[in-house]
Amino acid sequence: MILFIKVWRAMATNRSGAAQRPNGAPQTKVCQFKLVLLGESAVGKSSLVLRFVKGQFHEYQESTIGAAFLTQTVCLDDTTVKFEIWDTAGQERYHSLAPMYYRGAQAAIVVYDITNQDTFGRAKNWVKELQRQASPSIVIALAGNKSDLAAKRMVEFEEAQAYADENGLLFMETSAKTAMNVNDIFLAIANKLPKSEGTGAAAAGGARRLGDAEQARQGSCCK
Amino acid sequence: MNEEIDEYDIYHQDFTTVSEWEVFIARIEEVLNEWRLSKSSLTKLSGEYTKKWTSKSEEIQFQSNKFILSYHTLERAKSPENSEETDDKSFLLDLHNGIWESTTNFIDDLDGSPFPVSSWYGLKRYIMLCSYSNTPLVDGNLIKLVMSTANIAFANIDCGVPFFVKIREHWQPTYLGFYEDSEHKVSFDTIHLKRISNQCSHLSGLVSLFKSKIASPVALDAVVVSTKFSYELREVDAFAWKKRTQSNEFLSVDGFDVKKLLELPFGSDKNPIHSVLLNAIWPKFRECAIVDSSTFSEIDPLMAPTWTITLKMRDTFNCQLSETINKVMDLLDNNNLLMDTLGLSKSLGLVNPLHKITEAPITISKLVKAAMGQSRHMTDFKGPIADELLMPLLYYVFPDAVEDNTFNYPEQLEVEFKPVDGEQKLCGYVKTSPEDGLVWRVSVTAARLFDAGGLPYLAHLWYEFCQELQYRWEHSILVPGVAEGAPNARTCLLHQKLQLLNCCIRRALEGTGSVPGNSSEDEFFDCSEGENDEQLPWDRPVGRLSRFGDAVMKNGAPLYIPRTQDPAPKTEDQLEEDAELMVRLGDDAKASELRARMMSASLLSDMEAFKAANPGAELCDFVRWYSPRDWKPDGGGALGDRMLLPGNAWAEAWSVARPVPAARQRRLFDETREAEQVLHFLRSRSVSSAAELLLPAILRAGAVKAHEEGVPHGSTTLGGVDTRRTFEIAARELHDAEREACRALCLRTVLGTSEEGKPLDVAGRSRVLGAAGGALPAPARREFTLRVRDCVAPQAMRAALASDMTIIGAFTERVVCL
Repeated sequence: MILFIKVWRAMATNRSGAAQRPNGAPQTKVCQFKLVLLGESAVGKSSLVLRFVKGQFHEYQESTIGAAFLTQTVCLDDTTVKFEIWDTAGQERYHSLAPMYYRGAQAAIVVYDITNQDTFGRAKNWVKELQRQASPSIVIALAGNKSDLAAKRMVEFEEAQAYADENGLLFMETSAKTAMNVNDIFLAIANKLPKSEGTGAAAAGGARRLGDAEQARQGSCCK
Repeated sequence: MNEEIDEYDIYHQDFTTVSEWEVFIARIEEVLNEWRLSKSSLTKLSGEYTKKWTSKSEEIQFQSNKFILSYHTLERAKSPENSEETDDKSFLLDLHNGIWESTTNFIDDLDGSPFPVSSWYGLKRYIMLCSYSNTPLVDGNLIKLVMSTANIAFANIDCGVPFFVKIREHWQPTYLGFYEDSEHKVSFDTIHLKRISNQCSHLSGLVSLFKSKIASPVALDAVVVSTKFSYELREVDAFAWKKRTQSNEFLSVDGFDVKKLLELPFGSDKNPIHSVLLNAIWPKFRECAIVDSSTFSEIDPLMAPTWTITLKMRDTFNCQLSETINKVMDLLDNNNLLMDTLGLSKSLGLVNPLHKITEAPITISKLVKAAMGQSRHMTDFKGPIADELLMPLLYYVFPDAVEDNTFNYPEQLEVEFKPVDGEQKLCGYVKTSPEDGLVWRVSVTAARLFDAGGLPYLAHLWYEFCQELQYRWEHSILVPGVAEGAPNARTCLLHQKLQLLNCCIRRALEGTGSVPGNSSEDEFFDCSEGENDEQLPWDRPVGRLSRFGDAVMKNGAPLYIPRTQDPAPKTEDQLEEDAELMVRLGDDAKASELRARMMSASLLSDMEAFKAANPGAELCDFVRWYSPRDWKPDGGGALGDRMLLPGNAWAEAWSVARPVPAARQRRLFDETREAEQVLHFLRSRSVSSAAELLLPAILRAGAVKAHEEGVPHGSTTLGGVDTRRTFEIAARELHDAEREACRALCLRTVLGTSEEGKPLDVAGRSRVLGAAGGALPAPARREFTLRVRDCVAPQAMRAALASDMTIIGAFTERVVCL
């Protein structure tokens, strides 16, 4: 059945005069999503992003000023997902800027530090704010960072997991230092995001208007 | 089971399989085995089934032809119990039961499976071999060869599922199929002819064809027949349908009523019904009960026990809402400046409005001139829209400009944040703006004007819109119909721009701009007299807001929170520019320094304010207030590790920060510059980007209109696509919804309370007959299903006669091996 859909798609594309694709060749779509990182300062937001985007880790990561912007692409089965990441500063002073970043975002990672109970409380406040102010369809992930410091743990895994379940959040304990669950949490988000068919041709304006042929076909099969 | 697979593996490595044909057979067997379709691995068919088909498929190459072998099966409601014994008989019985039960279907009834054979023969599972899209299986020799291959493969693995091969052209519904066990062979045949042969054009001929095909040595029972005659009723205007007149008449000055502009049109502009197909059905009668031969026919549709209706809609009928939207969508390809549209219309003898804007930046809004009663006297730009028409329009968009408050904006301009009753509206993924707010009104008005008068009308409205905004900025009059607060990135860009403009106007209203920051008071929190005494004038603390708890600085003095400037609000396109710049800067150390400097305007301003409020402060004092997690209490206060990184941006900023209170700093948010930028942004739009600004509200207004017209709520989610693609998908969704609404309306007028495809009630029958003018035309299509049980099994044949002829049959014979 899948094959038939592909064939049909290839035929439909040919009809509308767009670039020819070899029949049945796997077709990857590219989706772009804005993602924002929120959380108390010094919980490791920038470190998580740096690990995810460049695979690096610095023991002491300079405190972010304002916000930083990075991009990274991940590949799912049939989709390439490009993340446009806004890494915000955690200081309270910058709180009023956060809506600017998260209102337009499709995904958010709220980060806390497992060795500090206060940062978990702050994370809960961020989740509340997102649920109230951000797009209703935003995908929220909760990341308990610094899981390499389990000896100093102050936030129990189960407590955070229960909170995440209650609020429908993705949840993982991560470590930017050891890279544990870093790619995984971004992948989990990529998987959960709705991905629509957006063709490159359409972006360039080529196949913009719904092909007349296609419309006619749709009409004639009404019965 | 395992034994079988082993055997097969050995077989697969047998290098005597050399010819292409043998490889073809082997490959089919391999796939069928992999899918476990031999009689011994299959489960019985009895039990509950859902209506969902599942399929799997494999590609197979033979000579230069590519084939797709696929297996289709209905999903079971419950997983089968494996305890049931299967044998040859139970498979055949299931097959025969299916064939017999399906004889009450007609050929064009569908069951949702990818091929019609399951509906024709009542199959719950089948195998299909069809050639790849561009090479249909038409060559007779090849067909024979493929059929033989299928036969051999089927027999070799003792397959338990009927096997079909799609032959002939793709559009022809021709499938050859078979099923075998040790004693019986079932053939599924299809004949498709472009003309109707004389012998087959009537029931008696078909009955004799059927009997000769069975070739029973003993006398048969009476053949049972089902018949469906379909009549196409083309004079469908007899069915009243709701017609809406939406024309350009509102543009005539005499009868102008702005209310006519407020609504988007909806529905088809002509009867969308192409034809009504009336099916007269006789579900079951014996062959001799009704005579239908080449010379004489007793078949009278008025006597048919059941009538059903199938509606055929026009291939293309114009949906007015979609038309309006599509016209605006078409503008997305036009990259000329919108204002050029007016400049080009020389026939009207106009100055280029762009020149006007650059030469004379101080402009007077039409609305103001109207209020001053001067519009007749001043020489001014005159657009294509007559003043008599334009003024009510502008008063509609800017209702606060006139005393009459017919069109005031709603008190509450809520951006729709929560779905109503958990139901998503159509196009919910398109960025919104407050319903019936200014963006909404100007967008809908623009769409209607453009629809009626073309691009010059749209450009003229845009021009006046920009002029009015300019006027409001210059005179500090807030723009009405826009949600409060900083630009909300959940709303559409045009709305964000107007929010930003209002931020500027509000800032300008708050004073002369001398006191930026989070307070409009021109006072500072001065220290008590005693503390100030010993300080030199240049070292006097200024710009204090409050004590920071009872915290003290490293030098022991109390720590004060300074008054600070609010960071500048930004619209989403400005954020995107920031992002783009940051990406373009690259990765090296210099770039990150530049990036930090880009983002540190606010930090520097806060540091300067802090230094002014706390003379003698060190960075660690600042950090204690600003970023407490980077402060350590050791020795009266110390910096956390990451603040000690050499060359870090915080230390750098601290070193260059001078003690300047917020009130005397350069403003972070320069309302004059920002406002001018917004106005320039709007004026300088190209046609395509103006359309991009207007479309979100047009689409959302269209969705609201569709819901008013009874379109049910949907729940489409959308993600990962750019703005243009979002518009396309939304326009498509509205188009489909509008079509569906038109169709539903037609169905109601034609069918009344009956359902499509279900028997018509008495009132329905007389209404349809009345619409057809009392008599039915010649049937467009006739279909007969014949079945009989002979001593072997049920035998069935169907014939569909239209301009072409399709005959399909399932015949079972005993395999006699002597």
